[in-house]
Amino acid sequence: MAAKKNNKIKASVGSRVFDLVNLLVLLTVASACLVPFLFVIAASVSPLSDILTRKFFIYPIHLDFSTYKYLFSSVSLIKSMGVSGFVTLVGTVLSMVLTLMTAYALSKDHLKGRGFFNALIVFTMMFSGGMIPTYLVVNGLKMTDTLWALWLPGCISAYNTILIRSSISALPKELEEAAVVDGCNYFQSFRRIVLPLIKPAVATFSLFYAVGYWNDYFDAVLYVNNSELWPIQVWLRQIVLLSSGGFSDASAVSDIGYIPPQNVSYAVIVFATLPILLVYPFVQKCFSKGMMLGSVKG
Amino acid sequence: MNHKQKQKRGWAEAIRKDWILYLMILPGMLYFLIFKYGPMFGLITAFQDYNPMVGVLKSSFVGLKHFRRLWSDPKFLQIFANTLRLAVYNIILYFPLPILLALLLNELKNEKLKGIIQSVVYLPHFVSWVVVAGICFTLFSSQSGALTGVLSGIFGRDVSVLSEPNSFAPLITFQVIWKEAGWGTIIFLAALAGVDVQLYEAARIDGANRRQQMWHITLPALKGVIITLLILRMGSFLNNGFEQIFLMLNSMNREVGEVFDTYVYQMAIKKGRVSYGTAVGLFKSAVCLILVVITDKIAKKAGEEGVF
Repeated sequence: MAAKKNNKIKASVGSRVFDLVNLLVLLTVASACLVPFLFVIAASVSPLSDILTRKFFIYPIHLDFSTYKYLFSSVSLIKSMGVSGFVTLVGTVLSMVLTLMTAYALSKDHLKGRGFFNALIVFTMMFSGGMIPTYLVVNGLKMTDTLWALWLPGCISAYNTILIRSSISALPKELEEAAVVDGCNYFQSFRRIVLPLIKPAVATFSLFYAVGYWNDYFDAVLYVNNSELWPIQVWLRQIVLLSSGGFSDASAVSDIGYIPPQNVSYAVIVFATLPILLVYPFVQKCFSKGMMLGSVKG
Repeated sequence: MNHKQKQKRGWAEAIRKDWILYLMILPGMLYFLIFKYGPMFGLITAFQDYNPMVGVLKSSFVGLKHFRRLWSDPKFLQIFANTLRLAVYNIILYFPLPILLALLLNELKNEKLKGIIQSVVYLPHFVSWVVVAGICFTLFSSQSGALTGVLSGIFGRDVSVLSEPNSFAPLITFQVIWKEAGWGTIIFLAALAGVDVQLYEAARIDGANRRQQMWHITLPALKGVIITLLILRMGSFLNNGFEQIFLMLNSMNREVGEVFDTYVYQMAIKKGRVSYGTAVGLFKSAVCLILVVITDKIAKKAGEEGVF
């Protein structure tokens, strides 16, 4: 009896130690995710002398906004923020509208040809023409050097379509049937019944598309030569490669024509990340809900 | 004949009844046909000598010439080795981490704290590869990197992480871990949300401690997801993160860093050898497809669910 009790206490002590260690490990992991951001932000507002002598870590010692002043006076960088914002806004709306409509139609069991449409989409998840044939198509449609090349080639994600379709299929059928009885056509019932019910999924996948558009640099590298249309990520790439010591592709960076000081790259990194950091806290609440709905059902 | 007519009337009937649905799906289907199946058709370039003046339709056919050249290309083995090295690093160092992290998060009983930690570890996933590369350059660049001094202290010599061939695969893997390990937990946590709480209660009554509960209940609950993800990873093992590697490549580490996609870009876009680049790309996609199908078959033989 006594031994048993003793055992129980021991187990709970062990369990508590485990909880403590677990918490410490998780806090370490979390700070490892955050520290690089804090470091870059701190560096971006530190004077160059502090950066060279590394007098700061995750908070600045002396404040110096000269790099930001410098960046705000540079027309091309501000313009590229505008390009990125425009591409992201229009692209996200375009992608979401197309994805939602496709997913909704695919969720209707009775739709003739549904299996075929489905297979058509799923196959693209396993096999693709690849970079060069896609480039030839975009080129053939005369989209190079236009923003269409940043919107259309990756406009609909097959994966997102399937996930949204599953979350629509998971809704109770009766809701829509009632709407149809009341004289709604499919489009009306889609807008008034289905859309409000899958709001978390809409928020989540809008965030995914928006992040995809905002973060994309390679489509711009591949399709857009005109530096007027370069998104912020492409500028960041040029500046970072250039300040990294000159062993990078010289041809890729010749357009800037000056070597920015180290602290400029910190500020540009902040620029390229800021919109995501601003939106993220508001949307992240939705996506555990929005994602799991689809992923659990497969 | 009669049957065919019936079939036809079936379509006419379906379109008349569901024309709104067909109208809704039309733009999506056009997208997939043009931007996904169009390029698949364009793969015939791999069997031609592509001439930009006349286009894909009129370029002359050369059969398997480019594939034969691929076999004799000394670069081919190198690329294959590089790809394999990165894939092995990824499977060994990255793949178990999200599972481990999900198990730890699952054991955290304070829901609020759990939520905060989750939001923080998901965050790096939403940052672009350019930003990750940018942070790495500012940390490790040989002249002014913030951690360059620390590293040379640890290794006792000057380490230039960004250009030394030996540090390429570890650097790439480390970037993947930082960016994706947190986000990778989400699918495992979703699977864990479906585990019956009664299982834990029963185990506790039987005297199982936390470690035993994790080992005998939580981990088996994840088995299906783990196997599915492994299959998908097998299929994409030639697809090392192109956007990421493309940013970290430079003339010093190209020898160990060049993978299929970067080579395709180098050949077709930089050197203008469009058909050869397409052939390399087609080879890669075909191998990927075959690998998925094979691993899927094996998983099904072993009694698992598989992907298809």
